[in-house]
Amino acid sequence: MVAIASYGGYIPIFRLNRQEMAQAWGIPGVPGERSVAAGDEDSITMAIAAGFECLAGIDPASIDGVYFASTTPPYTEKQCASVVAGALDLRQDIFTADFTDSVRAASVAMRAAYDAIESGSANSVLVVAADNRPAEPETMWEQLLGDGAAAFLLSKEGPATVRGFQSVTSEVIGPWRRSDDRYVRAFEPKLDTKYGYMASMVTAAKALAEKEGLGPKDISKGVFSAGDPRAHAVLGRQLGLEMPQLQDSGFLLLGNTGTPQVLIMLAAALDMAKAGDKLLVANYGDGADAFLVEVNDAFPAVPGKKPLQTYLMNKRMLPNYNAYVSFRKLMDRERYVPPSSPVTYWRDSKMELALYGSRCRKCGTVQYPPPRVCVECGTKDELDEVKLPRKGTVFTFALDHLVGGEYLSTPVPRIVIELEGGGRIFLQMTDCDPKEVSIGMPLELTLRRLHEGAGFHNYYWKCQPVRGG
Amino acid sequence: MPGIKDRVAIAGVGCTKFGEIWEKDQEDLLVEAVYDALDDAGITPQDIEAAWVGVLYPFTGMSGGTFAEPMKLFGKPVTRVENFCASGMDAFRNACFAVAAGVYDIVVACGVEKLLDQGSSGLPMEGATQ
Repeated sequence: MVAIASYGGYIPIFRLNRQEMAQAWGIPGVPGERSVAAGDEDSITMAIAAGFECLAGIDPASIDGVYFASTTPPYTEKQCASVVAGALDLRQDIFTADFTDSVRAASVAMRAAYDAIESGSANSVLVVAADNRPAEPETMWEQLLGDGAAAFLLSKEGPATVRGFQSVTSEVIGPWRRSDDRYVRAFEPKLDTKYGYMASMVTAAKALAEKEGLGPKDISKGVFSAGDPRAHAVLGRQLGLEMPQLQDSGFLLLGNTGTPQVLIMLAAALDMAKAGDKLLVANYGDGADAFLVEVNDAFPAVPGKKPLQTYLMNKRMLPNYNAYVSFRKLMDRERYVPPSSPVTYWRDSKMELALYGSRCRKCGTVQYPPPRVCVECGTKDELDEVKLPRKGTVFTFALDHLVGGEYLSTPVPRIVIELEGGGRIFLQMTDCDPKEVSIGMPLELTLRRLHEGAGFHNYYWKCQPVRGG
Repeated sequence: MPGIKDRVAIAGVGCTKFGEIWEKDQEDLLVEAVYDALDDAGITPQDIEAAWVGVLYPFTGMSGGTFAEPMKLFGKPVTRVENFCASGMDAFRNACFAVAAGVYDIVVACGVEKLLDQGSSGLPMEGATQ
């Protein structure tokens, strides 16, 4: 038996009203908002954020594998799943893999995770999915796409079981991107909608329903990925479902988030589900996967874990389209690149990615970065490594007007953080209004892309005001 | 008579292994070498009145923090010396002058380099890490 042991979602805090984008270009606008990843976010950082929610209250040492799914992996050669494993502080004797090239990658990864557990290859596998797909400026794509992430932990036991995978492959040119294409491309969507999306989703979903002996009335929610809301509704009708049985695609609040979309929808569905509910999940991209989720128990509440609703409702509106252009780095500019090194990246990864500090055995002071000599009592080499908490408060701060960084606007708040339980760390603040920074303000730590020193992605921690707090 | 002959003594020496030391960083090597020298001289870090440290990489524009931070020894005068391959010798030379001039009794002259940390096989070229 394979079950969902836990799940989590992450939506960037920033949203842009679609009318802002429409007015910027003088093209028609569709209703609603789209989520926008901040300039220091990417698919790896968003996947890690969702992974932390999913693993709240769970020992990371219990995870046997990580699958990372995205059509926007920050690397095309160098694994992204290993960065996720490093930040989530998983064991080293695990398997990690990237699933990419199609927005269907999340359900492909779910099927692979299911197979790994079912075959005895692993006891638990974490699937993380994230996307921030590049939309061509001056087109509707900018309004339609959205950014986000979700994470699902599959295991031998859990409140909801997973089974019945049916897959179909299909070679139709829907949205595509070659490695040297800057933006997502598509022809007139009607062909892909009819002969791709509709054909594959109906085939896979019907095969699953038949295999499991399910009629339309047995399905509590159909969780169907959707490139566009109209096709979504038509699919529901084709499968004999009523509108209330269709899980909201999140289009009005987020846009089409691509790879993580179906898992974000499944997370939202599970948040409202009750024991006995059967969720039929189907996901499209060059074919379709369908699987059944059967809810047996309520998912236990975990103190401090943020439900998807917090991420959906807690947001900051970007003031205008220019802010989006800045975040997406759509305009080519010279940017300062600090030095970096693959040697220090490797050697310091436990302290930089997994956030390990030190505690002095003599005086008990928690300190970061891990030193040879205690900063408080001066004792040499009497320190134990200690994992730092990702919560704290502002001890003191400075607003730095001199940095011309990757921010929406300076000043950059530089914070000395008093960590929960003691210890201090000095980090930048992100996703905030500098005027709101105050001494004692509660904070949480977030991993972001810091810079491109030495030509690779340098990830490091920043802090942010508590999301939804 | 000019010169520092018979006016300055070396009280202790510390030195780490030289070579490809991937697993240690600049902090590790500096602390190990300085503490070796302190033990050899039979003194403690608190006895140090001033320090000179010779180093070039990871980049220029750094300060005496190169010594003070790893040693956690704050509030003492520290001079960072940058003179390419003569950095260490020049740090030593200037430390000697301070003692010979009678300004300090006990000072540390040290040097540390982590060429391989730059990600290149040898001396990094200008802009090579970009």
